[in-house]
Amino acid sequence: MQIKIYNLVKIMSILLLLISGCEQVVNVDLPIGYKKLVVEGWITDQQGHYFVKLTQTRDYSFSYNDTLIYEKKATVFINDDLGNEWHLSEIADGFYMTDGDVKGEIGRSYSLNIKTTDGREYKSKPEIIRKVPSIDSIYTMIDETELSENGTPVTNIVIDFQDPQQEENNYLWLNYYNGRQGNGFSYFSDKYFNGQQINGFSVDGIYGPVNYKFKVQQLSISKEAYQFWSLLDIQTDDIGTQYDPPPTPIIGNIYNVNDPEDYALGYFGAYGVSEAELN
Amino acid sequence: MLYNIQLKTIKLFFLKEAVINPFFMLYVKKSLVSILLLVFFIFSAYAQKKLEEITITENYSKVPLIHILNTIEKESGVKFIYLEKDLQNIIVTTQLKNDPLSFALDILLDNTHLNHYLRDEKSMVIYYDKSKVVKRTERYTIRGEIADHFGNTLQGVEVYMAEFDKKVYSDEKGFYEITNVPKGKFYLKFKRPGYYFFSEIYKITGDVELNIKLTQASKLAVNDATSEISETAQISLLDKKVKLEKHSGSLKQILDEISVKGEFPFSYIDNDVALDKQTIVRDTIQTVKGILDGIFQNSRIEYIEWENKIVLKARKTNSKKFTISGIVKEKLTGESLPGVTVSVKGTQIGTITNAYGFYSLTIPEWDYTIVYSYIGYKTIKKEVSLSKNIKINVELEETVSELNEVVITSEMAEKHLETPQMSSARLDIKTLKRMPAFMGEVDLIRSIQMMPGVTTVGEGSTGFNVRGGGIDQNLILLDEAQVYNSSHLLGFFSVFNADAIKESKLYKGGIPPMYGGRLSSVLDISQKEGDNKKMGGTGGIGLISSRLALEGPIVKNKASFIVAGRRSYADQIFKNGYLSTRLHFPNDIEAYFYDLNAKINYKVNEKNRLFLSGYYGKDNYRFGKDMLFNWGNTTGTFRWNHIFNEKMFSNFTFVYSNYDYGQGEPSGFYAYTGRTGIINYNIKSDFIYYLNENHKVDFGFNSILYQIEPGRAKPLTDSSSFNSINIVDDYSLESAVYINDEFKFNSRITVNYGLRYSIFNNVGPGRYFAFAPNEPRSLESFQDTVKYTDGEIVNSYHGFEPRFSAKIEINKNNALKLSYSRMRQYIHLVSNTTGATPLDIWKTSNKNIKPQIADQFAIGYFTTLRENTLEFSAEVYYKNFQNLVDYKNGADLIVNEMIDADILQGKGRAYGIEFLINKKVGRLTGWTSYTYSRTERQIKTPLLRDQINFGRWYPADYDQPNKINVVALYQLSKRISLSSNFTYNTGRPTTYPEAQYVYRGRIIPHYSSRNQQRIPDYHRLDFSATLEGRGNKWWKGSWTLSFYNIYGRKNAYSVFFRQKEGTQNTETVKLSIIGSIIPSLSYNFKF
Repeated sequence: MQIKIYNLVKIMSILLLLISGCEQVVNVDLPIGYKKLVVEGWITDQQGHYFVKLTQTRDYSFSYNDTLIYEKKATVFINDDLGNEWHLSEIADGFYMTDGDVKGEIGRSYSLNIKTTDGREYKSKPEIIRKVPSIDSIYTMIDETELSENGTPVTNIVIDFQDPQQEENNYLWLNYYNGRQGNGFSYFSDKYFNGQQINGFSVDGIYGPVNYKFKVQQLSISKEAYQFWSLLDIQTDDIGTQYDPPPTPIIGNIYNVNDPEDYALGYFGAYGVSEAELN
Repeated sequence: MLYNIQLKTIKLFFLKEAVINPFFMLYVKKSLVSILLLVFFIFSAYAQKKLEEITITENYSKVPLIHILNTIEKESGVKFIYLEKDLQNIIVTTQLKNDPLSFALDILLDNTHLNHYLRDEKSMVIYYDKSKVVKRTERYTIRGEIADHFGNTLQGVEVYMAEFDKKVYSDEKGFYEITNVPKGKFYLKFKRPGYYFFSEIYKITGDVELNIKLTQASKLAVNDATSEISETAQISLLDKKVKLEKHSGSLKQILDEISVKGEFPFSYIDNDVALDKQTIVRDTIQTVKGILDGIFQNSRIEYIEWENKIVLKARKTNSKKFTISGIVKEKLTGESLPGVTVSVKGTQIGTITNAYGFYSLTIPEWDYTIVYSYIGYKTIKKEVSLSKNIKINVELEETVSELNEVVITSEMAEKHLETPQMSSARLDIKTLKRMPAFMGEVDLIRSIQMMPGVTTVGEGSTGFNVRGGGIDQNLILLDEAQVYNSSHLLGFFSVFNADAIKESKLYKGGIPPMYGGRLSSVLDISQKEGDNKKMGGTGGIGLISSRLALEGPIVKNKASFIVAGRRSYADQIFKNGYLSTRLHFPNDIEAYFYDLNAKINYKVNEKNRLFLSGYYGKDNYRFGKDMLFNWGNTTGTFRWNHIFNEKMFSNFTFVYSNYDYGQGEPSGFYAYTGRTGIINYNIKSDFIYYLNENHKVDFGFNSILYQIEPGRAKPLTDSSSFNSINIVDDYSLESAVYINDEFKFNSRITVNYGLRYSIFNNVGPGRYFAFAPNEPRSLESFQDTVKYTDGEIVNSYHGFEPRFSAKIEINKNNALKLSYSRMRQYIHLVSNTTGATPLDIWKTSNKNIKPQIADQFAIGYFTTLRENTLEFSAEVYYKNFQNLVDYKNGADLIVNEMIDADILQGKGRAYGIEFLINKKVGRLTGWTSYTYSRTERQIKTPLLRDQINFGRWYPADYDQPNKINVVALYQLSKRISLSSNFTYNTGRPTTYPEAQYVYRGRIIPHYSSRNQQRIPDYHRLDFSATLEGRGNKWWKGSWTLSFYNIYGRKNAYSVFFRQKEGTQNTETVKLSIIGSIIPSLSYNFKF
């Protein structure tokens, strides 16, 4: 619902833009900040290898394609609340992979530990893996009211699932196209829907028919993770009007063990997972 | 030849005389004495008439001189001694009119060798004078009319020609005539009891007409009148040195002796002076003054020198005071007029009508001229003989055209020097309607943003910021009802329909104690009452909306009504299929707003008046299947004005006010509709007690019950998965008592000192969230939800709010003002966006959220220039805020049950200097202002990650240091008026990213410190022209053409950062909401 409200404001702004408003690309002097460690990774209750990507922030003017600054040769391991540790090895610059197959367990909590070459030590707040309901069905729905510029209607890929009654659930969906993980994500909180059968939740939308193999992963995430993912989305999507919250640092769950003022960007999650494939 | 006294001379005279203080009682006593003397003379006239008293009025046509003298001898008892041969053959043809004997003889003996002299008291000698040149003396007549300065002719004015000791009196038409005046320079004196006398030396060379104006003596301030009134260049009797024989005796004996020794008479009324009283004179050789001071020390007698006499009179003690009170109204419509200056001419005494047009003045028994003045209206003067409490209701008439030469009375323009109130601005609807309006919609809020010290975060933002305060720190009152959201269409238009509004007043500082509950400003708006004389209406057709207002009497002069409505029709444009396809807009858009104002008033009798007013406004939006959305204010006010007596005015108010917004989704599994709102009921009593001319005391109390509905929502369709939400309502009670005394310390210093005491209680039913003590509030430290029952008081805050303001007059045109005020605010707008949105809800203080407190100090210099046509002011202020409400980074505030955990409280400071030049009269009116101001915040918390900007001071969103405003209104001709606005301000602070990182395939900007950069500066020029139709008795129309942003500047609304669509690059984007000139045309009418 939160997102929808920001959308509304955006629509209103567009409505007003019709008057004569305009967007102009301008050049501004940008401040230069300290380099920060950026962490991307998670563990789920599925058996397999898990990856952690370590990079550093760079000047805002950099293009996506400019080479990322990787945090190399760091010592990385995951531990659980029973004292088990799983070491990750750097398989490419900044890419770390668990040495063997790992499977998270529902109800156990996991955290990531990083020690950089210059001696900084980071740790993520422990996250508990929560059970995730299964996806009941996945199908497409064509929305004739939303058209592309050449008049093609939108095809929404939607799912049905039953939200469990007992607890507060937060969801994250990741999409796979022909087996490759996509960049997009969707998120949802059962704040207003607790215990309800959710029908027709859209996890993706494209113009025209779906002519590839589509798989969706449904992850149960913590409240903190939900906040992280939603902020990430809002601060890249809903920006620019006075009706948007002021931009803030998106602080995840990774902090410097020795310096309380320092934190790493990004998030290390521990998620329960279920999947569905569109036939 | 006509000789007219130059107007200039009269003006000079008035100026000179105006400062002279009158002495009325002297006149009364003097006339009494004269009457007694007259009676005496009438009795003794026949017996013995003194030579000086004899006047002759007769027409002589070829009469022998001897014959004339014989007649005079017979009639007056005077004896003429002459040689008959000298008078033989002398024949006289002349006219005598009130000519004293001696002067009459001059005339009679004209053109002869004869002369005359006074032999003794009873006889005159007429003799042959060889040296006298025999020639005919030309004689002239002086005549004219005597009137007061209002043009009323005066009867019985004594016209005295000193040279000939000749007196004449004006007749009932004010006409007088002095005949037989020879060539020469003569001293003339015009006097009448109750008026300042007028005297002048005139050179007479022919017949002249001298029209004289006398000024009525305003009878205040009795001191030092005498020296000025008595004729100049004479040695004061009081300074004469006398030597008395006796040390003691009866008062009469002593006075008689002084009289003999000093060669002057005393004048007194026996009853006033205890003549038999034994009196001792200590020092027998001294000045008259010395002796009299000794005698009358500590007595109720005062003495005064008056026309070669010393007058003794009883000192006026314990003079009674009476009250003049009444209501000032608009002549044409019968609307009561607030803010009218009511002053007593020639004094410093004055007051201003209150919100209901009521005034009261308590002053000593006397005769006065009361002046009622108000800008844009004709000044009215009322002559009042105050000997009992009186009621004067006045109707002021509007000055017809701005082009008429506006007579600037000093009373008018001095107003901004008059009261200790500073940091305030009155915006009358007439000015408002003439200012260039965005899309032709007259907008109170936008106009207020043209005032110094008032800013906005951007075009189309809700509300306004005053002296570094948030938008929720403004108390916006519409007929005393709180308006929680002043905007339509986000912030592009205001909810106030100009046709329904009478006036508005903005207080930025020195806020009177009757107002409270918000930190930064009060915007007090009153709705029109409705024409109680005739039916009529106003309306307009514009680009965005159309308006219609009807008003008229229900019972003539007793009850009237006004109803005003407005609706926008912008959405009709989007219903156009072509446009919506082109713009990729769903074609079933609903986007409109409307509002309705209504008011009725009923005058029960002279002492009781009832008002019922209401406002209802709504914004409605629906975008296809996506979103439902609406918001609106509803207010209702019932008021009872009761005048207890001339000195005590009271008003009892009951207010209902409601703001809510609804939102929803029409389809999908999330289809829902929800509502959030705030309702308040306010009971209020306000009293004004006009103690005397130096004290005006305001006091009262009020109590507001708040009912906040933080959120309610339910599924909209059967297939919806939405769970009903019902967050428990919050109840709280905010009560306050206040008292204020406006004290005229002396003619230069006036102070307002007052105190407000407010108390805030959270009352049951409800609940509060308990957090671990000594730990910052967060979801982790949350411990328990504590429920409390109906009526239970769970938590309270209270405190004093001292208010003080003072005016120190440096001189007539310059004043210094000071103020200090403390404000407490118990209700906060929950908003973490740069500009507030209609979705923001209000939250009261509770156990976790402390009330916000602000202290403001201000000092200002006020002056009027160019004969009061220009007002200039400079004000410096410093404001200190405590417990400002802010939110944790990334907090989700919408339908958040436990907002408490996301709220942070911090400190704030704001300071600035504001310069304003205001021209209120003439063809060109308007103002220019420059403001330099800063406003900063500091949010420190023990939890480092919650801190904003590492706990350092940072600029607030509305920190715009430099601001220039120019508003110019020009009346080109009777039908055409032009107006223009210019505004400039430093761009508001914004946050630039320090870095970026790539996450899930997106470029994520990384921001660390808030508000460290600024968007580009904002400036804009607007222009509008209004052509008034010729109109007729029934209909008067006008066209207004306006241009907003005339040079089409693409002012930045925001600067933001994004990944360029379809590319891998970042870009910085400046968004302009209005990027070109916006013309609009509207038609307004009146019938």
